[in-house]
Amino acid sequence: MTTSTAAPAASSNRFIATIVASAAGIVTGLLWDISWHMTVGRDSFWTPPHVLEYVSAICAGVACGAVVLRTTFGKLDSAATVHFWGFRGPIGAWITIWGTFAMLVSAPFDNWWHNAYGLDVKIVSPPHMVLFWGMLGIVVGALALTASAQNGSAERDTMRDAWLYACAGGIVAFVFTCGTLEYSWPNEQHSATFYVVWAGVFPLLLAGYSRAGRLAYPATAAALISMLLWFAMGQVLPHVHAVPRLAPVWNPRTYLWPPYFPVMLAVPAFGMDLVRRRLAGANPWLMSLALGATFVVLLCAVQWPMAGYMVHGNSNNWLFHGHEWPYSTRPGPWQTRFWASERTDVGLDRTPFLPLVPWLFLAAIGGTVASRIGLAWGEWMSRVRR
Amino acid sequence: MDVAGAPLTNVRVIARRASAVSGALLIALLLAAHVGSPDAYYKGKAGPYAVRVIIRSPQVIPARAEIIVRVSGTGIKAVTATARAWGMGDRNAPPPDGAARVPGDSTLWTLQLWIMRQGAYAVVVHVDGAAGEGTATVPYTAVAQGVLTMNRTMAFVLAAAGVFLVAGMLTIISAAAGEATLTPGIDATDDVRRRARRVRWIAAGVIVVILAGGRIWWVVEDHAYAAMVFHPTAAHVTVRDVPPRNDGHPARPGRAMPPTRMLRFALDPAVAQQRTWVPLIPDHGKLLHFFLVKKNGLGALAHLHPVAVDSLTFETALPFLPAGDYFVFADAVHENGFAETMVQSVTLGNPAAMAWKPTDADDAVFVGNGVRIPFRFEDGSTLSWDGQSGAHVAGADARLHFTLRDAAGKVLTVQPYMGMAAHAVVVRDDGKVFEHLHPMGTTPGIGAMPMAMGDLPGTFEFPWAFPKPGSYRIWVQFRRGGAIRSAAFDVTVTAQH
Repeated sequence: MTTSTAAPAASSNRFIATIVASAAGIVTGLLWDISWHMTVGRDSFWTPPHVLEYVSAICAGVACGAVVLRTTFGKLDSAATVHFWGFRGPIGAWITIWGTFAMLVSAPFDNWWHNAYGLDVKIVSPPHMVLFWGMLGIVVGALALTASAQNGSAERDTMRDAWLYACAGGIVAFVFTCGTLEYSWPNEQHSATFYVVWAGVFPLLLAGYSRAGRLAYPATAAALISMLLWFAMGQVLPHVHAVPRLAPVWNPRTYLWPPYFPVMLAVPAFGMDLVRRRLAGANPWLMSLALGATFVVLLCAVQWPMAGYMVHGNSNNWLFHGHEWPYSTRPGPWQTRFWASERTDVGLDRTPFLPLVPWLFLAAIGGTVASRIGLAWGEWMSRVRR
Repeated sequence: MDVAGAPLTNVRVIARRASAVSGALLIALLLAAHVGSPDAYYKGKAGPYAVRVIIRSPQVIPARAEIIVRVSGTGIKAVTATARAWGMGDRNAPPPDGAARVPGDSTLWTLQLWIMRQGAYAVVVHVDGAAGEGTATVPYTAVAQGVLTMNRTMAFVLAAAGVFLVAGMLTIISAAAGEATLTPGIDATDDVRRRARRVRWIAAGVIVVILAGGRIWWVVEDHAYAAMVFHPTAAHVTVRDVPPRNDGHPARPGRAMPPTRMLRFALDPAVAQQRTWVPLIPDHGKLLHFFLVKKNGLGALAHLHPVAVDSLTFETALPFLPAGDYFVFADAVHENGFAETMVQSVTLGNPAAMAWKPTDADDAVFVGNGVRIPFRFEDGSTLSWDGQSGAHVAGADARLHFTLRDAAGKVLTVQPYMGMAAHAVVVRDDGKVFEHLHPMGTTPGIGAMPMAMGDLPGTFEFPWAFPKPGSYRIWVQFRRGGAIRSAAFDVTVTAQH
């Protein structure tokens, strides 16, 4: 045992807040970068969103590295730490350092990739996946640090730590909201794809938060924070002047693309929190089934009509940002239709609900499996102490 | 000041900087619109300003092309450029990019343009200065020329980083499953260590699967890109002797007409039947500019213009050419402005007596070697390569300035040859570099320059740079006294230092 009671704890409040803020900087940069590509088109390593992402990553990595060094060499209490190749540090710090390193490695890899295969503006490419895993490492590291703090001694401010955990959870959810953007456009929200993809991803996170969070409604809190961040960016980005710089420009823009009104993730999250509270102690698979079904039903209940307003309603305003399109999209009637209607023969102006039902069942199955994994992950997060 | 020669140091620096960006090795460099010489050169006017434009082609697409503009005149305030893809109107074009003045040279400007897809472009260069504004339009064909392989240093660094990341992740997962859930200050028990080990092995299996999936993905992406690399249209070359046409009159005894040797150039129907096939249009009035260059010494050149038998097949009568193997270069421009050079080979046997009635009035042939002194014609006139002396370096201005003089040294005039004062053909001895040059540069004639009329001064200048070191032959062709004349020069080009 190598406890040094005289030294301050490795994971101080300021340190954890720094990492959470860095994680927020990274995901803010991520959505800003997406907006940049939808508006300006071309970029370089030194665009403002890239700089924000990398500065935030380096900030997180350096802060964690400093804690590791100080813990390893006795300046900080090493009791709440884990071993790593002779060094000691909180598990969240190691995950964050790993994420920072992965992000840094992705830069030369991406540069070489562009030299070899061209300056594609694809989101999904092998070097971008390394970058994504790096970003994910940092935000999950922040989540682990906040979970550890939340689960720590009673001397800490439990409520503050619980909210920090919710913030980190919201940031992780935000990353996946960006990652599923392609399937989440309002015009896609009457499609099976949207429900299947979201049910396969978000119950995992929400069930985990619900299981591990110390707030009364932790999944709801995390979902609200993710939505709030998304909404806030929708309010800020359109105030930034930008014009397309890549041909062909089919949809001239004069300001950065603002993300549409966030998907109402907090509604299914609230339902999952209620179910989890109600079924506490139940068989985990039974609980997962209830969580998955609740997620799909509530997501559909809120997004189906919401999407109707976004696509057909007067949503082209500062609040909802309906009908904001990338520079490269050719204007046409397809923009005011649900894309599911274009894939069926029932007519272009309506999307019947009934054909979606079997897909919702499939989504619920996916949601059940995701919830079960999420509960296991939440179980770990509720026990992590270092 | 010679607007071409002076900036070369700067141009070389820019080119070196561009080529040193990746530090990677280009392989599988394929033949493009100009064989082995992908950069475009242009000389012309932008309103009141004389401009020379070099477009340094990227090796891959999408990528940035470097645009180097030399503007003559004083009081130049701004130079901008934009690349307009074929079929895109002004409304779909992004705002032009501003060029930056190259430090130390007030007439040289440079910028980069994003070329997002392969095809024909119009690079529009706009100059704003004290004498007003002017625009020059430079036709440009962008093609992906190859795929880069990763050099050893980069491969080692990335592999080491990958090993570090995988090992680090396994350690982290192991710690997360073991130590991380222990109450601070409590040492791990054997059970905890066993659990951590078990989780680590499971994680290792998952990571292996993920890495294998990543590898497959990479290979698929690589193959997809390789499939999109430009390949010239495939074609088939055949030669046959055609007996003289029987015009109803009996052949006079002892005066039998010799046969005509015909060359047929047939485009591959499989390529031409694809939906993406775009028909050919005339460039300088010809559907094909066809060059036969003798291998092993470059001892003969035939510049021919086959006529269409049908939309895919072209024929031309061959002049007398020494027996041997020949490079076949066929320049063509498609309706969408896309210019390409098709490359084939053909072997010619030793013909018996044969007749040559040129298929096209602008067909020309030259048999002989190049000189390193002024080229002397039979009438005593000479064509001198004014930029011949001194070292010739790859990437630097080739100084292709020529002057036609009579025996007394007076500069002569020429008649337009396919709308221009002269044409030049440059071939490296191995056939890996081929360029068909005009006084306005490498660009095809489509929309590039009005056809010249009347007599023109016998001074020719071709903006270009040798792309690679090696032994080159340059043929200069022009029309004088109704006949097409050809002169050949040899030069050895060294590598950049």
